[in-house]
Amino acid sequence: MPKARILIVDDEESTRELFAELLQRWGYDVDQTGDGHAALKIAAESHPDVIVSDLVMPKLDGLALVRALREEQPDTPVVIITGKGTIDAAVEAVREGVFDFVEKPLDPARLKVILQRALEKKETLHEMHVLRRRLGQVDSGIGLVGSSPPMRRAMELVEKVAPSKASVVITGQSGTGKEMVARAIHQLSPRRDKPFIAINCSAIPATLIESEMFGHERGAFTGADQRRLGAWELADGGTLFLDEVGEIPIELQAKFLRVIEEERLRRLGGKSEIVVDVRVISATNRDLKEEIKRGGFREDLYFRLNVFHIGLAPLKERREDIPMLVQHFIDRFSRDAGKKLQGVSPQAMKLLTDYAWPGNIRELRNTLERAVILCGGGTIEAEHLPSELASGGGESAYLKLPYGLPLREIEKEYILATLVRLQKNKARTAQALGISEKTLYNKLYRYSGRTPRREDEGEEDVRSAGPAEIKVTGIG
Amino acid sequence: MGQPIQRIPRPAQGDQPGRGADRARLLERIAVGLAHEGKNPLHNMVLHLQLLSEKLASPGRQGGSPIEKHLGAMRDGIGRVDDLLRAFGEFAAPAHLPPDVAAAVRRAVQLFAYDIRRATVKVSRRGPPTLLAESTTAALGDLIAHAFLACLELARDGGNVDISLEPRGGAVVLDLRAEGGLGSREQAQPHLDAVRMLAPVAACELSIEIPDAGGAWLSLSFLNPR
Repeated sequence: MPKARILIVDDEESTRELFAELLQRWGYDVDQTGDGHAALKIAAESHPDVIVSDLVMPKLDGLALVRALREEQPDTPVVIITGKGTIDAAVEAVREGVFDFVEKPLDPARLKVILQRALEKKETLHEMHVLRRRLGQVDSGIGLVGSSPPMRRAMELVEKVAPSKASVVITGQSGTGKEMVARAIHQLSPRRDKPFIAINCSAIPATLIESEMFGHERGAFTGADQRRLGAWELADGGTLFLDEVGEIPIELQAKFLRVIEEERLRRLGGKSEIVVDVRVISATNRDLKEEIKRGGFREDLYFRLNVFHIGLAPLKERREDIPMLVQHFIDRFSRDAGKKLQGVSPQAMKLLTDYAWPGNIRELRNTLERAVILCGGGTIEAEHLPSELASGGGESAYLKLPYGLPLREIEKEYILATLVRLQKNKARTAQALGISEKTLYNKLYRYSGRTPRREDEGEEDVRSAGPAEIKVTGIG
Repeated sequence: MGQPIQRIPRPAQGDQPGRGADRARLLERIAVGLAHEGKNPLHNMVLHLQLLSEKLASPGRQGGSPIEKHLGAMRDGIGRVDDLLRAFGEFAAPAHLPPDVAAAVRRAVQLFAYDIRRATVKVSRRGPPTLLAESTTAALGDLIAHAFLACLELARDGGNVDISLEPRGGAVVLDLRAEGGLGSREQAQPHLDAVRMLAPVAACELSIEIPDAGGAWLSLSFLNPR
């Protein structure tokens, strides 16, 4: 590993040479000069990793040097050494972009730490530039970020399938970016100028899904006081994205199949058929083949939807994409917030890459949005990240409950805590708890004191509803 | 160029109005500069000490400057700090000192070293190491300090201040010339006013020339005690 190079700028020759000898003993390569103008020239030629400059110098003083370097070499940290150790001077120096401000007489131990931090910053900025360049190469305007083998494979499939009209099923855990992939397919397809309509099938009550999808005529049912176009019609000429497609009620699946096969539909209460030209992209985190076996999903619809399959790996299986995603989200959120953030510190990046990310990219995105809000400027540090990241695991966190809690309460606490932990994603919560989504909904209704709807009533699989990992601690 | 000796006044008795406040301002300015200037030798001493301790801790990794050089430099540093403190002490309480114009000039240059560096002015000095005048030491020190500061302000940002001191007949003549730089007369004016106020107190005949083209020539003549 090459030695870090430090440029010393001090008009007093004896101090400069002494300082150079000390830094060389500490293992650095050292350049030195007695004035600011020469420093600019040396900096342009030898690209030092850090510049240590005296404040008061003839010709070009330390702050003027910092100002000039800000234009030429904005990434090179400058440490100013001065005898004028007032708060005003320090504030002015930091405002000018000085990395740190050291008062004479010097504290060698402090200087060592400052130089290490300055070098870390330089390294972070360098990595950020590399990531930005790589981002430019891999985020080709379609919002997909990553260069890991699974992500590259997914991108290849997106590029291959996009120009056709083939139906696509995207599978992957919640938060892996299934909708982003669907949008990318749409963007790369000849339909890009037409609508992209996204429907989350699990978010629409079963009683409403038919009219949401197929539309209705005025007076078709109580409350239908005007004609309404459904999602199929709205997506005409474009793409319809059916998220959580496994949640489509079985009794409606035949109707979906007919639209896909015949490209025509009839609104609720409508007399005539409407022709639609829609490409369907579906997504699910459930095993549809299992659903078919259980009788919850029609096999013929499955084959119609699953002409082409794209599987997305969970984030923990493509950790090499995390730095690039981190930079992508920081750039985006800091731009939105009008902040100038330079990236994340090495410690924070380690936490981010080590964490298990059970909520995948969605959780990473939320974490960074929060960090950008908390970070005043400069770099995002470990303190700006949620404490659970420091525990490293995500999936190894514990729920603490007091002794003596009724089993039913324990179940409730555990279910609610899991739901919160998984960003209130019910599908993933049900999956994590080993129960069906219907069972989860029923339980949530019960906790809220409301009565479940008829269609929500169903089997309640309590076999694995109990906590798999509860740490019970005493409170008295 | 010399001034007639008979026109040089005798030292005045008693304090001029406003002298106390003026002296307080001078002392404050010197103290600020000193607080900064004293740190340079301390800073160097810390660096020497660090190198020395690292070399003594790992005798196998000597290299660089020899131990003796560090010790010598630390002695020099202690001497520099001592000189500064001594000069400040003498300027602040000069009553017991002889009225030595050469020493007063040396002190002014030493105590305003920080101002000189901030102003990026080159100072040159010629004359004997000691030259007594018939004056009061406190007024003499303040007068020379203000005369020097006036020239420093006029030569600010790249100019020169040339100081020459010589016995001329029965007089001691101190010439200060400011040349070049981008200084302003406005900044120099309070010091020029103080020089005019202090000259009679210090038994000094004063001549000030400030050409429109810039720069200044201040000539301060004192009686040479016999």
